[in-house]
Amino acid sequence: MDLRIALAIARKELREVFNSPTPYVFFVVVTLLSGWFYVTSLFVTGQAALDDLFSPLPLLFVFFLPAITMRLFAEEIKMGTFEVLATLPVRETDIIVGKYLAALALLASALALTAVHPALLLVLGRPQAGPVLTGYLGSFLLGAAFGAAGLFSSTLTRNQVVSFIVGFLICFGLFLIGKTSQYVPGLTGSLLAFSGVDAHYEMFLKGVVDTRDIVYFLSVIGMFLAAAYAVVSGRRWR
Amino acid sequence: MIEAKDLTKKFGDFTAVKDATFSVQPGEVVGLLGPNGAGKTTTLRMLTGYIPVSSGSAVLAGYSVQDHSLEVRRRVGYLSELNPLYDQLGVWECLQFVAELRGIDPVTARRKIRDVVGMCALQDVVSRDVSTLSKGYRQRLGLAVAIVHDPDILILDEPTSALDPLQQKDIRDLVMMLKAHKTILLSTHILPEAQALCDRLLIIHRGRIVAQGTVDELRTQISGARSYYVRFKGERSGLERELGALPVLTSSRWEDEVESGCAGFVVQSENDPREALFELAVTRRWPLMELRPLSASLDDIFREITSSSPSSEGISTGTPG
Repeated sequence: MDLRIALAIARKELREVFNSPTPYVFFVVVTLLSGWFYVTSLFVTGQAALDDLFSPLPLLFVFFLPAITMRLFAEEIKMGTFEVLATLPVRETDIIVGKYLAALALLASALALTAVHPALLLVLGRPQAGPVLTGYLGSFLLGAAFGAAGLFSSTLTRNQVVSFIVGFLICFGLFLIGKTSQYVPGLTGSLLAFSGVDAHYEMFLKGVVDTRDIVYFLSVIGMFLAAAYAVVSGRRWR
Repeated sequence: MIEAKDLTKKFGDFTAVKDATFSVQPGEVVGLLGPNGAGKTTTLRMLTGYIPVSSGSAVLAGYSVQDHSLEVRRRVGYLSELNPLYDQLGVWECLQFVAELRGIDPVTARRKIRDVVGMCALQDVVSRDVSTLSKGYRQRLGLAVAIVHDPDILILDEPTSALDPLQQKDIRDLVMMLKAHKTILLSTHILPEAQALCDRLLIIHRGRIVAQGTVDELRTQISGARSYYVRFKGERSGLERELGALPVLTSSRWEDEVESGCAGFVVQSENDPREALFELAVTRRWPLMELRPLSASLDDIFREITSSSPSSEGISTGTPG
């Protein structure tokens, strides 16, 4: 892999995306919703708990990550620019990593915007720094996993709506599996719990950084990026 | 240079290109000429490594497309038929992006981009967004993108289709300018353009290269009668009778009367009829005012070569170049 080329692709993606309204809408909605969840409990219970900031994020990400990744490949395929990219001396890995880095940059920017809430707490009181940091790490990994799934679904089609729906279904599936585990007893239940994002994400919110959870998210990311690679290189060999 | 040997592409049961064998030498412009759907784009896409070769081989700049696709892509500039470009980028950004992906360092890239902007006359639009460009500028930007790394080999898929005559001329002039240092293979279905631009032609029909050579070579390849124009000073009806009786001619028909008292005819013959026509003029005392061979136009050649198949969709004779 050539990092210089991947970064050039990432820069181009960001240039394109910031020429469209997508990232601004994304930022506004994420800050607005996370702010809403956080502030309501602040006024209802009189408690400033960062749990309320982090726990709705998985459901938000189920919608938003497929929304920001749906265009990554679908648009190039539809506009025909994929032919330009595929006839330049760049490897499929560089293209995928570049586009993925652009999605991660958007995700990180959105998360950075929500940092206004813990920053405010830091001014007003003495919050525990640990759970805040692990919470952000968990949120980033979760978003990165959903982003990889969204990128993969974008390689499947030239239609961005289809790309969004497939991405949404995959993310929603990963989100739901964990929820169903409590109704399933025994080994199957624990397998379901392990496959879903929920159990792993919650560990980060508790302030626990467990290698198993990190490995889980990295595996999900790796799996979807590998699948995207298979589809993209297959596309050339049509 | 480009060397293709038995290049074949199959999409399932359908064979798009079959056993295409040809070569393009440095400094040469070769035109791939054929009706729509003949396999021009498929052939070019195989050479650029965009679609895989089913069988046969293609070697560009010394590297095999199948085994060293990346090396080939480094040395080839490609303008695809629909000229897809990143609409949301600026003109400069677009060129910069391609230069970056081609691994050109930023300082050299700036110089090279300035060069191609000048060459392709993009100075006026360099700060605009790609989406706002007119078709002519868009095509020039596509060409600039293809040559920003100064490639040895240039592959252009219908570079002038969908442009107006003036814009077509711009692109043609650019190709002529680039010709000296590069190996150029371009596809077209506009015959006058092929004649004006190309040193050599490959005629592709239903996925097969059915003829190749210079326009003159192709002319001699087509079998059958050659045509001559002949004008005698004499009476038309007598001339018509005598020419009709001349055994060397396969046909003759009256053409014009540009000089008073003279009659012009177009005659066809399997063999050279000029001596027989001279003899006729001498024996009947009809002064011979003009005698010249009529060369077959590229249209005739193309029609002749591809006439064996009824499926051709027809070709545009376009604007004269």
